[in-house]
Parts: sequence; C-alpha cells; structure tokens
Amino acid sequence: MTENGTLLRVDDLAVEFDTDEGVVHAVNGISYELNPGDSLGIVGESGCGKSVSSLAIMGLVARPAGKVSRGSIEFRGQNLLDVDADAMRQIRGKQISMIFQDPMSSLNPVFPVGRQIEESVRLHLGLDKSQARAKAVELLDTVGIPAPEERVKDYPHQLSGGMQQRAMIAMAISCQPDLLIADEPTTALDVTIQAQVIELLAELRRELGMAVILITHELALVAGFCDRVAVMYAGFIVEYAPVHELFARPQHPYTLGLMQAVPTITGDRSEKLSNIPGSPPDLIGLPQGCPYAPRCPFVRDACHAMVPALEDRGAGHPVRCIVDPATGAMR
Amino acid sequence: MSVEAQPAPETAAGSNGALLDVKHLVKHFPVTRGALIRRHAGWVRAVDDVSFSIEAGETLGLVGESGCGKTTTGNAVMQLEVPTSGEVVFEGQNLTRLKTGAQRRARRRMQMIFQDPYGSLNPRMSVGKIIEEPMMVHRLYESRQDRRSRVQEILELVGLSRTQAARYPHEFSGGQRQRIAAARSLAVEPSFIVCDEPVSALDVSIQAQIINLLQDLQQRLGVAYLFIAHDLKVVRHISHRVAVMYLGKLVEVTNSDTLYERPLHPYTRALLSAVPVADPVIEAKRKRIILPGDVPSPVNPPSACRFHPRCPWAQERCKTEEPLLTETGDGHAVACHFWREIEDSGGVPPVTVTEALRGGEARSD
Repeated sequence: MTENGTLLRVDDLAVEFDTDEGVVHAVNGISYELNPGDSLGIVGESGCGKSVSSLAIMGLVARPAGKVSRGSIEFRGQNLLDVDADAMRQIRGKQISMIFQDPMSSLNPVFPVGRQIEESVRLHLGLDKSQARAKAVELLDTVGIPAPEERVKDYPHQLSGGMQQRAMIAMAISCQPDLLIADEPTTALDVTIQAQVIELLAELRRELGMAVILITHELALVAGFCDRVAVMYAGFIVEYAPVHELFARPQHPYTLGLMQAVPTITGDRSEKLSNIPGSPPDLIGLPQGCPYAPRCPFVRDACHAMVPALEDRGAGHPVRCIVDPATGAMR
Repeated sequence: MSVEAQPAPETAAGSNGALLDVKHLVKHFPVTRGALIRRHAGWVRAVDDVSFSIEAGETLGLVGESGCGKTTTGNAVMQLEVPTSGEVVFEGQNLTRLKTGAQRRARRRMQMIFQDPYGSLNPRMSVGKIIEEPMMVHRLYESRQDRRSRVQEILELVGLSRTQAARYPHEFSGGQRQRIAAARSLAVEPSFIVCDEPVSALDVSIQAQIINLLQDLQQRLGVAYLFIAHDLKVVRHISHRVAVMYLGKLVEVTNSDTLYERPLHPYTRALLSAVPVADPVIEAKRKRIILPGDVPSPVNPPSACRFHPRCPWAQERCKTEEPLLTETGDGHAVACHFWREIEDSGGVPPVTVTEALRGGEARSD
C-alpha cells in the first residue's frame, strides 16, 4: 500500500493545552507504528491522553488553547503536522476517519442520516446525487441496519443508540479509509449492543483491510480485537506489547494494577479486588519522576528522580519502568 | 453510639423472614399526546409484576440493559415512585400503604446511593452538613455536638479524614464523592441501601476502591444492598444472588456463583457471552451469542415472552404463552418455556452470528 510499508508512524508526539490554571501536559511524547491492516489498542483511564493523541492525528486538537508541542505524525510518508487545512480535509474522512463515543452528538440532528453519509461520498468520491443515495443505502446495509431504504430517511433521533453508532460507522467507512480511529465506540452502548458493534468492526476490518486504532478504558475489549496494545498513563505510553504477550506477561505495575482491579466474569468471587490507591495525577504540575510513582506498590527512590524511558529491559517488550514486578527487583 | 454492627431493635421480620419482600411490583407511566389537551396514549410498562426478596446483610444484584426497568424498580422499592400496584414489605411494614409521615419514618432504615456523584450532592453544602442533614431530618441525636462527632466517625468509616468535613463537594474527585454519598446514606444507620449504578461513572481503578468499600461496610455493619448495575462483571462480584431483568420482567434469579457456570435463560446466556474476557486466548475461541436488533420499546412490549423477537431459540409457544418465573431448584429461578431443552442441547444457538447481526428475520429475504 505504501512505499515503506508503514501506514502511520507517530514519533515523540506531545500535546499541551493552555488553561487559566497552567499548561496541561495531556500527551508527553508517545511513539508507535501501524502497518496497513493492523489493529492497535490504546488503553487507559480518563485523562491519560488516549483521545487527545488521536485527535492530533486527525488534526482536531482545538486551537488556540491546544497545540502539538513536538513530534511528528507520518501518514504514508507525509507528516500530517505540515499539511495545510485544505489538504488535511482531503485526508480526513477519506483516508483516515474516526468514530466517537457518543453517536448522538456526532450526528447532525437536523439532517437525515442518509444525507450525512451522502455528503461525505459526494465530496470525497465525486458521486452524483442518485449514486450517493444508492451508496448510502448500500453502506447502511453493510453495517447491518435492517430496511436500509427506509432508514436513510430517518433522522438521528429516530434511531436507537446502537443504530446511530452503526450509522456513524457507515459514514466512517464510506470512502474505504486506510485507517479508522474508534474512540470508545461502545462505551455508551449496552453490552449486547457492544458485542454487535465490535463484531461488526472486526468483520469490516477483515473485509476492507483497514487499520484500526481502538481507544478504550476496557482492557478486556482489546483482548479480543487488537494485535498490539499501548497502555497509557498521564500522557505517557507505559507499556507497548503484542496482545498475547501483554495479557500473558504484563510488566508495568499500572497494567498489572488495572488487570487486578477489574472483576472478571469467571473469577473467584471471594477474592477481594486489589485497588490502585489514590487517583491519577494532575496533568498541570506533573512531578519530575515517574507519574505512577505515588500510587505504585513497587516504588523506589530512583523512581522519583526521572521518568524512565520506554524500552525493553529484558521483558520482551518496551516498558516504562525500572522494576521487574515478578521479582520486585530493579532491572 | 458505636459504628459497629448492632442488632437493630426495630428489625421486625417480613412475612417470610426476609428484610425486604417485593411482591408483584408494577410501575406503569402514562404516555400522553397533545400540548393543550393531553390525551392518554398508552403506558410505558417499566416494571411489570416483579417479585423478589432480600435477607438482612445480603446483596441482591439487579442487572439489565438500559430501559429494562432496573432503576425504576429501585425507585419504586424506595417509594420515590409510587408503585402502580404490588407490595413492598420492609422490616414487616408494607410501605405502599403507609401515610407520608409514617413512610418517612420507615424509610430511615432504607437509603440510596446514586450513579452520578456530581449531581447527587448539594454543591452549596459542606460535606459535614451533607452527612448531618439526614440525622436532623430524622432527629437522631440530641445535641449538635453528638451529631458532629458522629459525622466524623462516619467519614473515617468510608475512608475519608475528619478534617474533610469542612470541605465542599467540588473539592473531591468522583471516587471520593461516592464515598461521601455512602457516608450520607450511613448517617441514619440503615439496614438496607439501594445502590443505583454506584460505580459506573468512575474509572476502573477507582471502581475497585468503591466496590471494596461497599463490601467492607456490609461486613462491619450488616447492611443489605440492592445493587443495580448494567455491568455483569461488577454485579456478579459484589452480589450474593443476581436477578436478571429484561423489559420490565425478571427473567432469571440465581446464585452469583452459578450465574456463569449455569445460566439458564437465553437472555442471560447472551449477556454473559457478550461480556469481553481479558484473555486473548479465550477470546479467540469464544463463540458469542449475538442478539439481533435492539431492546423493544416498553410502550408496546412483545406478546407473551418479551424476549421472543430476539431469542435464537424462540418457538411458536413463546409468542402466545408467557413463561412465568419458576424455581428449578437450589434457589435458581428462570422464566423460559424451553430452558431444559436449551441446556440439553449445550446452549449453542441455532442461528449464526452473521444472521443475527443482519437482523434475523428482518433480512431473511
């Protein structure tokens, strides 16, 4: 697909926001690569920078308060940060598209869903009105909306939450993008509807061969869907691993903490959940050392000195931690 | 007065010894049309003939998807919504027949924790005042001094510090606010607390803190919970028994331990199979039961078994005859005509994932 085989290369990306209280360091230098057809999961809790880093890829960081302060985002060899607004508009929606958590507020309430899908295919694919309508019906059919000829005329409020999210997905895949960013696509949906939507995304990924970045707070969702996982905390990637490796041998204390804090559907009920004490740090005055240190059960003096680099210290994959959680010893 | 568990003198047993006994609870909301002349246009059957009981010190989990009536059930139990019919017997008193004053006195022993820790605390009151207010309403302590020291005891009980009584809700994080909500509910020494999605607005690392707190409080004070949530993992973890609700009806009630091992109702099976498991090896092998379509509207619920339009095992009988919630042994109850046949067949649905995803019969052409 691309010259060098890599679809997306994010390198040392940092995003900050100016607020009255001070500068919020939302993303603090993250790097990852994505090949065509890959699926990457970005996992973390609210405020960890998982959404902001993806908005940066789409060129949607709100100015003037927010800005990309360093790094690069190379998409098919082109740095998206150097691209002007018009060219970005050509890429956005056509080559990279995005779906959001809340479908109701992402759809325009005063236009029928069909018309909103038509808008994007007419703009990007140059279809005429009747071709666009046919395409919209076809797309709604692809995402499993029953009676699509009728549904194209529906307004967003006439559809259920699951249907709205499918309409959003229809819009997102309308130009067969190379990359789909799904930001908490199922968080607002019920669990049986979540299963429908995830199944649909997996099927579309296989059929269209598009790469997917799935942003979620739920580790379990990533387990069944992604090839690789980046775990984020306080704007840093703290662990980056193939999905099987991450779940078989989690190495960062935060990843471990997250896994043990969630009850499982199969687990022993008499066991108490282990909780992570305290709460996530304030991104305005981040401490000098590892941002997880104040909550970490393995913390050492050295952790407060500086943020450890994200590197493979014999764990088999990159981890931003100087302690081996299996032995408790320094690496 | 001590904070630890003590036998409540006024604890009278319900008719069958349960702390709370809900019998044939019904809550219908009228639907009206027209702006000036309001015409009655039907009923939202939010809760339709629901019965369950809760023992002292027990947690019953109530799980279901949005719109299934679980929150309305909680509100109707608390008498925050006047039930259309049915009985709520709490500590031997039928709350639905009491007058306002008597009801308020009876309700002291039952409290509620809400989903939204931002919306359920008065932003203009200090935390100390918030916890003190229910004590004043129920005239629990003689002097202000006693109330204040009790407030401080309770703050420590829920893992906050005494000095935080002077602070205001906006100074606290979501998890801490949920601790304040718990403290407020404990102020009047309840024997029963309705927890309506108490952790769903919180991040996972904070969820665990609150779940552990609720379990600790139960062990120390012996309170019973009706734990309402959509997250099956959380409900199963915290509850002794779980009731599964679909479109205003209970479809299955069982022990939490047997819930995963032996689900009987097709809806419970689908719910369980939809929960993602944090293990890529298991995920790769799992077969999901994908339900077609959405939850129908409770205004015109499907006939007979309300689950039949989405059920992969549905047969003619399901459209004409309503299955009642019946005991199958060991306190396990299910509302399905064919649970035995489904269990014997191994629980594999006769409809494939793709068929289901495409909307079942709607797309069979």
